[in-house]
Amino acid sequence: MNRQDTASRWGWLVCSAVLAGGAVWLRRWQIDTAFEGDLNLPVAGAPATICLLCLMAIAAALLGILAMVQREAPLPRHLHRQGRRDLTQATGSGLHLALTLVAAALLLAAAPMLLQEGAGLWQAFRLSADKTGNNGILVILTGLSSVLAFVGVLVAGVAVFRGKQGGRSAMVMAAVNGCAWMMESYRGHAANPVQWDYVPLLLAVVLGMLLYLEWAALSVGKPRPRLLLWLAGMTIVFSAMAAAAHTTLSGNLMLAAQSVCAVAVLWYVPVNLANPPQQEEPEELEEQPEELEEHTEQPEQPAAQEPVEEMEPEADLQATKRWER
Amino acid sequence: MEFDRQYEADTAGTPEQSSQPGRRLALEPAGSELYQNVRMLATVLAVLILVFTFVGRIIVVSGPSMENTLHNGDAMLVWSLGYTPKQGDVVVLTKRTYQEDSIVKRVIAVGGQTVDIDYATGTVYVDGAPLTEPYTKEPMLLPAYGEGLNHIVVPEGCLFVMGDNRNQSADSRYAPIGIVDARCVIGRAVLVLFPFGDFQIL
Repeated sequence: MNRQDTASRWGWLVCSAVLAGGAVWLRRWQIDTAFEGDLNLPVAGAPATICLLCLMAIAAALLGILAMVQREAPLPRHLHRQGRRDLTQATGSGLHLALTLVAAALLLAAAPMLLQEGAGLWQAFRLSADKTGNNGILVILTGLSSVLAFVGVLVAGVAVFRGKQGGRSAMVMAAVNGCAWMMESYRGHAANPVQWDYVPLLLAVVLGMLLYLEWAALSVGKPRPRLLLWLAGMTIVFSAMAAAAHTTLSGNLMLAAQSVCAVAVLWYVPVNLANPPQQEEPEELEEQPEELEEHTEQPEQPAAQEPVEEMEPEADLQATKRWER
Repeated sequence: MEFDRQYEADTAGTPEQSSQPGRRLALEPAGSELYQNVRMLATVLAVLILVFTFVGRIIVVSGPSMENTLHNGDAMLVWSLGYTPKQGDVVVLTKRTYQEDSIVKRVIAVGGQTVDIDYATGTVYVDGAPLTEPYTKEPMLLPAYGEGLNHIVVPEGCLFVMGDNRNQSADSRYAPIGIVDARCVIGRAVLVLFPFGDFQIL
């Protein structure tokens, strides 16, 4: 790991933090100045709103540029079929384990609040005469999937900590939670004419969900490291923006969880992308030397062919390797 | 990207391997199928929700206030993107000081216009001219709460809305709703999708 790679990690983190701080400040300014009346309707052309829109565009562009210039070392060909698990490699890293535990704990903490809220809505819906309004089903679903996400993040994080190849795809469960949360966010605000009341949260949820999916894609899908980095930065910015408004505590906990996961991505992926960690060859290749020994035993018998025999094992080994590729 | 092409070439295996479906599946790691399914679900949901948020959405009518134009249970397409309310449009709006759920009404007058309702003849006058209203369900009677809001000039940026079923509609005549800010409008009802028997372009 050289200084340039460490600098790229800090570049991502500092850039995301600065943009997130700006987003929080502008969002608070917008809430204080860009809405009016009892109905809290948006003021057309408010400076705070215009500045916030500009910051969102700048964040997308700046993080995109960072992703494009991110240094990427070529990966050994024989590792391509294993995806890019190496990018999240943090075997024995206490920091990664800590981040994982914090994110998982935040997701688990949100679950009982969501379940309680959903149960309350369901009760109210059952007792209502016209059976209209929010029945709380999506809120309950979000709470249950939050528990699922807790398990997924924990399993994936422990797998990384122990250096295991399997288990990392469990991050997909966090994406399932993102799906439920996305539907619940929309359902809760479907009748709200003021888009600014819920669009920042909706975008934060969508970005977080895509971040979890791309994280899982490193193991089981088509890896896109640069997109993963971009999503991590954008998740931090939009999660901060959404949390700056009057969201629920459960919502803030889930926003914090995805931000912590994004920080973990920005801490490890840029460095691992520029310096693929040393990996052992996969087990299927390790078995080949035993099979080759059985093949090489046969040609040894005719003495007249000894000069040729010395070349055959290597030729066979190379041919086998080409076949495996 | 070159990296992506290299990835595709390496995961494809030899031509002989690619032609064998079982062999190709064996190269994919465990959990890939779950990931693919979740990815597809997430993508579809995200696109749908973003379209519903910014472009248009499907809303189900609740109540009889817009009969016979719209009936209870009708699913209608509501267009939001770049929409400015105009006189005669059927709009979906939410006035949160009245109720959290949205309501469907017809725009009778926009900002700057004068509204006068003659209950004796059941005629609505906008800027002194009587409206031709073939969409109303029945002749308009005096509401139980009295004339309510009447003989007013609609402020700029606001709307005066009424339901087509005049005698069963809580609308701008009713004080808790009153004049509606145009920013409360979610979108314009464009057509009724189903039930198919009620399909119509509004």
